[in-house]
Amino acid sequence: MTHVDGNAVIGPLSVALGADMADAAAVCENCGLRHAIAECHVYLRCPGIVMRCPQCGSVEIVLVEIAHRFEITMSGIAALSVIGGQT
Amino acid sequence: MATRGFQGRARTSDGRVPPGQHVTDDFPVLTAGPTEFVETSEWELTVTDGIVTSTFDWDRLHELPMESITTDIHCVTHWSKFETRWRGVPIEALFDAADVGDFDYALVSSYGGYTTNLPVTDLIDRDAMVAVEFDGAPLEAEHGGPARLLVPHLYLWKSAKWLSGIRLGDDEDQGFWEAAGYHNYGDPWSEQRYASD
Amino acid sequence: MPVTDATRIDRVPVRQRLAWREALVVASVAESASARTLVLGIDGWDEHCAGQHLDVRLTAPDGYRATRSYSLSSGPGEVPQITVERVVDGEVSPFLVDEIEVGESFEVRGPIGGYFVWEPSDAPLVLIGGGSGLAPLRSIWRAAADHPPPVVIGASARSVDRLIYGDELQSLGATVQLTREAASGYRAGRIDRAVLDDLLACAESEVDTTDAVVFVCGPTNFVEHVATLLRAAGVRPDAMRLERFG
Repeated sequence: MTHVDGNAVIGPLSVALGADMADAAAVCENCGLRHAIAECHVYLRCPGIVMRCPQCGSVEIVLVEIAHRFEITMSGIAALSVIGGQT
Repeated sequence: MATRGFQGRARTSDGRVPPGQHVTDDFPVLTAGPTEFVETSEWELTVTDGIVTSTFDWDRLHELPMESITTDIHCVTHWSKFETRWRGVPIEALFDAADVGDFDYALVSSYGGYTTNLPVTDLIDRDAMVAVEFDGAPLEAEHGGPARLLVPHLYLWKSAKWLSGIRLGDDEDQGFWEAAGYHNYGDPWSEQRYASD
Repeated sequence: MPVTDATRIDRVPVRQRLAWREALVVASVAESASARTLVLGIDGWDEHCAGQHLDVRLTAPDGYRATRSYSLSSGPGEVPQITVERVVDGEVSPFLVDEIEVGESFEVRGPIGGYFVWEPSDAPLVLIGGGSGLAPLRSIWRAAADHPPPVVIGASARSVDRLIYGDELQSLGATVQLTREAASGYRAGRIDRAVLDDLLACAESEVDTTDAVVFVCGPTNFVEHVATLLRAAGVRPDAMRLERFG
């Protein structure tokens, strides 16, 4: 097993951020690619959830679920675009 | 709410198994990124204390004394593996050859960008080594070959695969999982999984 | 690369939809030697979008928990179902395939996902699944049954006894490849460029268009293999939806 798609972590990421991440997009800090969160390369077989850019492979988001808290580091993304707000 | 009939993998309270761990016979491959494939002809390890910097290529590493150990290892994802056989260069011998000074902390780095932090005493006073063989054969890339750090008395995320650098200093900088919420030290027997433990 | 403008899933607020709730096993269907479908009773279940998944959480008596994601294999209007393939040495899948019985329950949250989702449209559909990667594709072909687009299905399994949805695939005229066994009525070997060209040609001969949407789901190696072939065949990246499950 190597990586899976970002789709696999939409659930925990949505809960962690309190927004539906199904349609969310991110911009990679390293290479500038704008892509759906669902397109991230996700590594699950490790102590947390590591989401990498589908183009350059650099780490974008790390999510660790600890008891009832989520620890999220997002140092690898330049921007995050989430659908929501007032309709 | 417990799921009726679900036990999960066996978690034993045997004195040989740290709390919350289960024993496995295979060797799970855990990684936060793609497997790095580094040829021994390309491989280099840089050891620095900020003043003295020494670089070890494959040949220079093999000029150092090697030791073999058989030890139990413990991964924070709840598996432990008994009696794993490793061969490599003890970190104390490496630091002697590098001629680096006495510092309290080390930040270890890998090909591919992974990092982890440890106290220097845990590298030189215990069984820590630069491991190049597992179970009598060259260490495979998926397990961190050609050379990985092995610190068997701490959770395995401290044993960085695809070792490329060790930087010594007075301050403890956090590595990849430590910055993400894992414990700075990671003692399996005290179940130091997370920073809050 | 354009970001997917997938279906808005806003019928139920995200916090409610993603809260853990109980799923009762109301029926089970053996799908192959190593997979079965669990039909679930979930209070307050709202219709899902074809291709979405559920997170499943099992809790041991000492509080130890294991969480996994499984694609919904039922059509959007049907009672929710997941199809689970037993993973050798797995922790959750053997319990769901071999142990849990009708009348027992576990926790789920969802439906989840907006990327590997089929939005009703007239574009021809090509669905390519390996092993239990057929599960979300079944949801899609059932959803698409009432719509005009032609649906072309390519399936890959190790052997006949590992193939899920065999009868349904046959009735839909699917191309089924067996990678580790030769059997009459099936094609032998991996999905290759010739197989893909046939599938794409089938999709496009039905309507005068080249805007087929291709969904590929399966083990990572399978998906990479098929995606590489699709790119070589000229399918645009934004016309592909890929789901790798490791």
